[in-house]
Amino acid sequence: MADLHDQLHDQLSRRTFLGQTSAGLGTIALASLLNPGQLFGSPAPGVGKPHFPPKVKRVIYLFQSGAPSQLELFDYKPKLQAMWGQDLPESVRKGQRLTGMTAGQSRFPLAASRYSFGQYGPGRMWLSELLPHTQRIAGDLTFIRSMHTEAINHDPAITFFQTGSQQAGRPSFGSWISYGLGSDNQNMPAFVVLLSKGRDGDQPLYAKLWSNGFLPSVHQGVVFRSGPDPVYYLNNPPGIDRTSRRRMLDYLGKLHQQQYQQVLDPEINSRMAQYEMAYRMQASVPETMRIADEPDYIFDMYGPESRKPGTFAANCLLARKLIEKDVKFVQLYHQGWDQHGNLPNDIRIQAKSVDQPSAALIQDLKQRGLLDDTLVIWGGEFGRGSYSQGKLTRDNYGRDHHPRAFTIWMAGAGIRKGLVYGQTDEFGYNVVRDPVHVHDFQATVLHLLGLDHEKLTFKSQGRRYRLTDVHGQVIRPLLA
Amino acid sequence: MPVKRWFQVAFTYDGSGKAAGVSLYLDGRSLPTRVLADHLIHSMLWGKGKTHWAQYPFMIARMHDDYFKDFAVDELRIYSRALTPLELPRLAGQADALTAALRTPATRRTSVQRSGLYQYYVTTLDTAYRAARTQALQLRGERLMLYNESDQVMVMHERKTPRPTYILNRGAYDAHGPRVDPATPAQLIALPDNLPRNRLGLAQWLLLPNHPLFSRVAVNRIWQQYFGQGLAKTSDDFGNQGSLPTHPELLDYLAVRFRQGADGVGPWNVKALHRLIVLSATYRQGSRVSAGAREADPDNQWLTRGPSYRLPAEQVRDNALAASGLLVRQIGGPSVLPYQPAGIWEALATRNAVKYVQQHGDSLYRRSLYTIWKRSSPAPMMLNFDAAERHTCIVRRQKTSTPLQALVTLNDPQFVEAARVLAQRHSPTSPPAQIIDSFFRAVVSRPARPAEIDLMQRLYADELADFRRHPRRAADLLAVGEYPVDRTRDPHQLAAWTLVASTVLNFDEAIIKR
Repeated sequence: MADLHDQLHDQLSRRTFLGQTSAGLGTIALASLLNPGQLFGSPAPGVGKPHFPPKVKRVIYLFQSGAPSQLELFDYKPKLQAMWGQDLPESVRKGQRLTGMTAGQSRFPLAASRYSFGQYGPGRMWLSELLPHTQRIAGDLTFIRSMHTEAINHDPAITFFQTGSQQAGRPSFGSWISYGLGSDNQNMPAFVVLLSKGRDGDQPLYAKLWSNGFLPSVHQGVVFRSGPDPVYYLNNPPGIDRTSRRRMLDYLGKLHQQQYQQVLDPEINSRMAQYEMAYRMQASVPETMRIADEPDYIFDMYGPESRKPGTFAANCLLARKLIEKDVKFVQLYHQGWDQHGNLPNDIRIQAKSVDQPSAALIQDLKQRGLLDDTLVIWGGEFGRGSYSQGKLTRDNYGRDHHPRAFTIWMAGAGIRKGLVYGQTDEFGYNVVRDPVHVHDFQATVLHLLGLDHEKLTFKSQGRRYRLTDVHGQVIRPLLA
Repeated sequence: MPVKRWFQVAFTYDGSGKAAGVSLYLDGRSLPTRVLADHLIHSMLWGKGKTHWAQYPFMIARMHDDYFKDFAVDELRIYSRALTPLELPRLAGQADALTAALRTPATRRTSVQRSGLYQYYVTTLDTAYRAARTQALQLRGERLMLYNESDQVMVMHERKTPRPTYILNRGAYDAHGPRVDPATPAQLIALPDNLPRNRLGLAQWLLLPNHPLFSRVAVNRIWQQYFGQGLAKTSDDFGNQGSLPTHPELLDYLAVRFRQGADGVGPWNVKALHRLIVLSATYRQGSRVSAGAREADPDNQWLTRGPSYRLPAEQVRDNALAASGLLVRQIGGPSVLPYQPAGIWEALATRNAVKYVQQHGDSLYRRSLYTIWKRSSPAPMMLNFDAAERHTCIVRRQKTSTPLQALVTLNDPQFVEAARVLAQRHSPTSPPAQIIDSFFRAVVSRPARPAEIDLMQRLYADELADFRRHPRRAADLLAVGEYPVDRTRDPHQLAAWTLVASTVLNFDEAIIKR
C-alpha cells in the first residue's frame, strides 16, 4: 500500500512538473528535478511526501495578529448583557494569571458586546453583525470556539502558534510543511508570507515567525512585498535585462557542466537547477503579484481596498493567485487587533476591512474548484477577556488578552462544513466542552495535509523536534 | 497614605545619580526609604546622540503598567534647586523649622537642626561650595555623556546574593517547584569544592585537565570548520545519541595537544590548532573524487579526499569582497550597516531602530561578521545562506542550495559592485585570456582551464556587442555600488568584463569549497 502511494505521489509530481516547466532547463540532470525532496532540500526518509493520502494540498493562513475579540465577532454571550457591569465572578476566573495591564484593576466589570448577533447558514450559527460577508458563507465554515493557548502576551503567543514553542528559534508552521511535503511547483517557493497592517502602532511582527529555524533555509517563508521589489534581490541589477541574464546563465550553465565532468559532484546539478528556478521566479513572482489585470468583478468581490497593493484585501486576492501557482503554504499576517481600549469603534473598522476579503477569498477559491483541496484558516494568537479593561460605559470599553478561550475558523478541504466545535461558559471565559489546544490545532492541520505530527521530526542539537513538541491530538470530529 | 484627606508629598533629588541623593517627605517629615537598586551609570535624560527616550516629559501616578487612580493633585510645585530638610515643613503648612533652628542658640541646637542649617547654608549661601558643586555636576554630566555616546555591549555579572531559582512546573513562571542550585552534570566529573558555584566556576570546571568533553568538543568544531563536518559528525551532540567519532585516536590526539600545548606552543592555543589542521596532509588533499570512491564513501567520512561543502554565508560574501580587493581588513570595532534592500527594517519596525540607515565607505566592505544583526529583521543575504538566527546557539548550520541564494549572488549590489571592481582592477590592454585567468585566480584561487577561458571569452564578446548596441545599459550597470568607477576605461568593455566577473563570482567554486 505504501509503495502504491509513493508511486502515485511520484506520478503526480511528474505530471505537475511537466505541466509547469518553462523553457530554459538547459542541461540539468532531469532526475534531480523529478524529486522535489531532492531539489528543495536534503532528502531524508519519509520527508518530501506525506505519511498518508492528504485531504489538503495547500493552506492559506489568514493570521489576525493582535488577537481579535471572539466576544464581538463569534462567541455570542447573552449572559454578559444580563450581567453587564457586574464583576466577573471569582468562581469563573479562578485566580487566573492576568497581564500587568489589568492585574491591578480593582474591579472586573463584565462587558457585553456592543454589537448584536444573528443566526446564519444551514447550521443557524451565531455571528456578529460586524461580519455581514462572513454571515453569507457561514455554511462553508467550521468554527472552533474552544481554542486555548498557554501564552498571555503577543510575541510568545504568536511564536507558539507558528512554531509550537513560546521561545523563538523553532521552525515555523509553513517551514515544517515545506520540509514534510516538498514543493509542488518549480517557479515559486513552497512557503510565501504576505504582510498587512490595519492601523499603525499595533503589535509588531518579527522575521522569526516565518523562519526555518534549524531546518534547511530552503524551507524559510519568503516574504512577497508589494512594490517594485517583491522579493529581496529578485530584480536584475540596473543595466541587466532578461536577455542578458539568460545569456549569462547559459554560459554559467556551460561552466557548471564542465565543472561537473571534472568533480562529479551532484551538488553542481542542484545549484544549476536553483539558478534556473531563480530565473523563472524573476518572471513568475512579478506576474503573480500583478493584480491589476484581474477583472472588475473580482475586485468587487474582495472590496475596494483590494485594488490597493499591500492591504489585507489585496493580499487575500494574491493568496488565491499563489494557490493557483501551487504554493503550498501562504501565510498572511494582518496586524491591528490589539484593542485594549476603545474596542467597539476599533473592532468595527478592523472587521470591516477584513470581513469582505476573507469571505471573498473563500468564494473565489470555491468558484474555481480550489476549495476542494485547499484549507483556509482564520484566527489570532489568543482571545480577549469578558470583563472591561479600563472604564466600562454602554458605548465604550476595552478587553485585555485572554488565553483560556477564543474562536478561530477554517474552511475548505477535509473538514466538516458548517460545524461549530467546542463551547465556552456563559461568560465566554472558560472552555466547557471539547477544548482544542494550539498543539491539537497544529496536529489536525498536519493530519489534513497527510502528515503524522508525531512522525514529522527533525533532529537538532541532539533532540528530535516536532511542531507539536511532545503534545497534540488530532481533533477527529473536525474531519470530514 | 491617608484616604479622603489632603496630604503633601515631596521629594528632592541632588542630581548625583545615587539613591542617597533622593529624599522623600510626607507633610514635611522625612520618610524612611529602602534602596532596591542603586547602579545608574547613564544619564536619565538622554540616550545616544541625545535621543530622548521618554514618552512623556513628566508624569504622575504611573509605575510601569500600574496606574493610580481616584485621586486629585493640587498645588504642584517644582523648584529649581534641591530643597533642604528644614525648608520642607513650612511648605507643608507646618511650623517653620528653618527659622526655629536659627533662633535656637547654637549650643542648644539638635543634631538635626545643625546638619539642616549646614545643608541650607552651603547650598544657598556658600559661594565656594556652590561653585564646587556646579563644577562637580558639570563633570558628572560630561562623564555620563561619555558613557552615553560610547558603543555598548551587554555583559552579565554575578549578583552579590544569588536569586533563588526553582524548577518551574510545566514551564510556568509562577509555578515554583523545588529550589535548585548551580551545579555541573554529575555523570561527567565532579565540580571541585574550591570552585565558585557560578559561571566562573563553570568555566574553570570545563578547563580541568581531566574533563572528558571540553577539549574534544572544541577541536571537533574547529575541524568541522575546515572539513564541513566534525570527526564526530554530531558536533552539537556528544551525548549518548550523538554519533561516535570516525577517527577517535585523531580526535584524542588533537584534543590533548590543544589542552596541553606542544612543540613550544602553549595550552589552548587556537591559532596553533588551525595551523596544525590546514598544514596537514589530510586537509591539503584535492577534493576531486572518482565515481567509485564517491559511491564507497559519499560523505568522505574516511577523509580520502579534501573537503567540499557550501561556504557559510559570511564567507560567500567575504570571498567576493576579498577577490575584488574591496575587503577592509580592519579588526574589531562596532557593527556596520552595509547595503541592504530598501525598507528592510521599516517592514518589521519595532519601537526603536525603525529605519535602516546604510553607511558608506569602509563600512560597506568590512568582513560579514561585522554586519549588524537585528534579530527581528536580519540581513536576508545571511538568512538565505543559512546563517544562524541568534535565537538559540547553533553549532552546526545547514548547507542548502536555494534559488534565493542565486538571486543574492546575481543581484545583490554588494556582489555586482564586487564584480565591477574586480573587472576594473585589470589592465584593459592585457589579453582577454589573461584577464579571465586573473578573475579565476582571484575568486577561486586557481588558474582558469582553457575551456573556461574559451567560454568566458565568448560571453565577453556577446556582452560587449550588446552593450555597444545599448550604451545606456553599460552606464546603468557601472553605476551599481558606491566604489568609484574607473572613468578612464571604455564603459562598454568594463561593463562586459563586469558581467564576466559576476559569472565567475557565481561559479561553483566561489560558493562551494573544492
